[in-house]
Amino acid sequence: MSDVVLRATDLVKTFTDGETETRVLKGIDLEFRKGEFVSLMGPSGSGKSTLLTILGTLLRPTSGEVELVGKVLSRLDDREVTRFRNQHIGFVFQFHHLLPDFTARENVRFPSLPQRKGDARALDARATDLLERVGLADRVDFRVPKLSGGQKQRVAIARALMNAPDIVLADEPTGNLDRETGQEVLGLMRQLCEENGTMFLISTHDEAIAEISDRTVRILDGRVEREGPPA
Amino acid sequence: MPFELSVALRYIRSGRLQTVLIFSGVAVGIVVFTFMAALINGLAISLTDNVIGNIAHVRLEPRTRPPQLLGSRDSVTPLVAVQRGDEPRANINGWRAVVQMVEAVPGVTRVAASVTGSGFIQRGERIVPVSVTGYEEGKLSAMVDLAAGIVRGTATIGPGDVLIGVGIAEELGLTTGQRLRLRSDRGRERTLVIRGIFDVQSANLNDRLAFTDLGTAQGLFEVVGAVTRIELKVADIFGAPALAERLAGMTGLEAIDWIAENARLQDALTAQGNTGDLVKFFSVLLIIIAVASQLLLSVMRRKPEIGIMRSMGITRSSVTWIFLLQGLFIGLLGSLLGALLGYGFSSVLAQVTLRPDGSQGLPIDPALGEYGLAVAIATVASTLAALLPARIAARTDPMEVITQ
Repeated sequence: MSDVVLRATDLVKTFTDGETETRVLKGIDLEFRKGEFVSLMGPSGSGKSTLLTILGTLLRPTSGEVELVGKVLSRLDDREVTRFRNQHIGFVFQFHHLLPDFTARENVRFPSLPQRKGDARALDARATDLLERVGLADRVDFRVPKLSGGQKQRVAIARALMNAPDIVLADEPTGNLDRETGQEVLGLMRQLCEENGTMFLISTHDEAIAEISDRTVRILDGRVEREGPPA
Repeated sequence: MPFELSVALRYIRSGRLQTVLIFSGVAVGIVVFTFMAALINGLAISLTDNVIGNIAHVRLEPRTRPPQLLGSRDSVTPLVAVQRGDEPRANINGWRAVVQMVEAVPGVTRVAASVTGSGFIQRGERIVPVSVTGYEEGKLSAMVDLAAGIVRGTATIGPGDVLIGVGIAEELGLTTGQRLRLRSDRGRERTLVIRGIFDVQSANLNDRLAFTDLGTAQGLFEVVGAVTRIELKVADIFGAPALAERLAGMTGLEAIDWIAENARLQDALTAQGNTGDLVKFFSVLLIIIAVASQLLLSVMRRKPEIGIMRSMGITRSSVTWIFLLQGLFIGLLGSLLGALLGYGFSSVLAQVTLRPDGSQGLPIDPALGEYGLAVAIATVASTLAALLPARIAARTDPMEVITQ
C-alpha cells in the first residue's frame, strides 16, 4: 500500500570536527503515513533535531536513504532537492523565522513564489484563507513586528501549509510560547492535520504534545528507542 | 513581477536610513563624476576655442622646392649649398580651382584664400613690425572671429581698409578712421584707413596682427593673381590631421593641421583629461565600496531571513538575484538622482561664476556632464559591487539559522 509519505532507511549521520567524529544518528528506520500526527521525543542531544533536518532535506545523511512521496532524495542534486522541498515539505520552527519586512499574508505566500505559477490573486486568496483558518483574519495585512508571539507562530503554520505539502516538520513549535498559547497552536496543528491529511512530525520535549499524537517516536543516543501510540 | 525583484525592492524600501545613506553615497559619487566631466570638457572646449577660434584648422601652402641640379654626372658627387631666402617665394597660382576642389570635400566647413607677409607700420619715430594677412572680401569673418573682439569700429573691411590689434593702436596712438602707412618686407607701401581695432585676448597677437583685403595684400607682397595660402575650417577639429593628409594628396600642396602646430595644447588637454578620468575613477570606486559594504551589512543582518528562505525552497540563484537586483537599483536610482543633482550643481556654479561682462569665470559646461555614461557606469559598478554580498548570501546554509 502506499499511504507512506516519508520513509527513512538505516539513517546514519556523523559530524566531523577536525579529527573528532561524532555519530549522532546510528541507523534510524522509520515510516510515516499520510495524515499522521507524530511526535518525536527524546532528551537534548539525542539526535532528534538532526533527524528532523535530514528528513526535511536540509541536511544530507552520511549513509542511508530518505524517501519522500516515493522519491529517493539522495539521487537528487542540490537544485532538485530545493525544488522538492518547496513543493512537498513545510517547516515550523521554534522561533517563527518570519520575514519582518513583509505582512502576514506576504509571509504566508512566500513559499509559493519560487514556483512562478498560479494566479497571483488566487494565491493571495489562499494565503488569506489559511490565515483565516489559523484565526488571523483580522491580521492579514499586519507586518510581522506588529504581531504577538502566538500570532507569529500561527502565521508560520499557515506559511508551512501554503503549498499544500505532504509533510510538515515542526521543531519545538510551542517551545517559545506560553502554555496557553502553546496549547492553542498545538490544537490548531492537530486540526489542520485532520482537515488536510498532511503528515505532521513534531520534535518536542512536551509530553502534552505526545498525548494528542497518533504515534510517538522516542529517540535515545541516535537510535529509535521506542515507537508506538502515546503511553 | 519576479519575486526576486519584489523582495529586492522591499529590502531597499525597508532599509530607511541605510537606504537614504547608500543612495546619498551613490548620488554624491555621481555629482563628483558629472561635475568633473562638465568642468574638464568645458575647459577643453574653452581652451581649444581660444586657441583655434582665430586660426585655420588646416592650412594649405605651396611646397618648398629645392633647386634642381642641372648636368650632373654619375661619377661626380655634387655638393650644393642653398642659402635660405634665396629660393623664389612659392605661391599658389591656380588658387580658385583649389578652393573649389577643397570646398567640395566633406567635413570642410569654410575655405578662404589669403596672402600673408611681414611689414612695418611707422608713425613718427615709432616703428611697429606687423604680420599682415589679406583675405578675399567677406572671408575674414569665416576664418577669424573678430566680431566679438572688436573694441572700436567694425570688423568689415574693403579695399584700402585695415584692422589692427589693440596693442598696435596703443603703441602708435592710433584710432579708427585714421590713416596709417604700411610698408611690406618687399618694400611696397600703402596708405590704409583703420576701420577697426580688435582685442583677441592675446597680447602677442594684439601687438602684431593686421588684416587687409586680398587685393591690398597681393599688392603689398607682390603676389599678383596668386595667394600664399588657403585656409580651412573643418567640422571635426580633432579629425583635422587625417583630413589634412587627404587634402595634401588631393592638391599636391603642403597641408598643416592645427594639432601639429599646437602639440602643447594637445598635451595639456590630454593631461587634463587624464586627471579628470582619475577623479571619475575614484568616484566610481567610492560607489563600489559603499554599495558592497552596505549590502554586506545587509546580508549579515538578514542571514536568518536568507536561511529561512532557503529552507522554504528558494534556490541559491534566486537569493543571488535578490542582492544583485538591489545593487542594480541602488546604482540606477542613486545615479539618476546624482545626475540630476550634478546638473543642478554645475548649472548653479556656471551661473554664479559669470563675470560682469557675461564671460564665464569657471569654464564649466553643464551640458557636457556625461550624465548617461555616469548613470550607466554607476549602475554596472553597483551591480558588480553586489556580486560578493550576493554570493555570500547564496552560500547561507539554512541549518545555520535553524540550529541557532
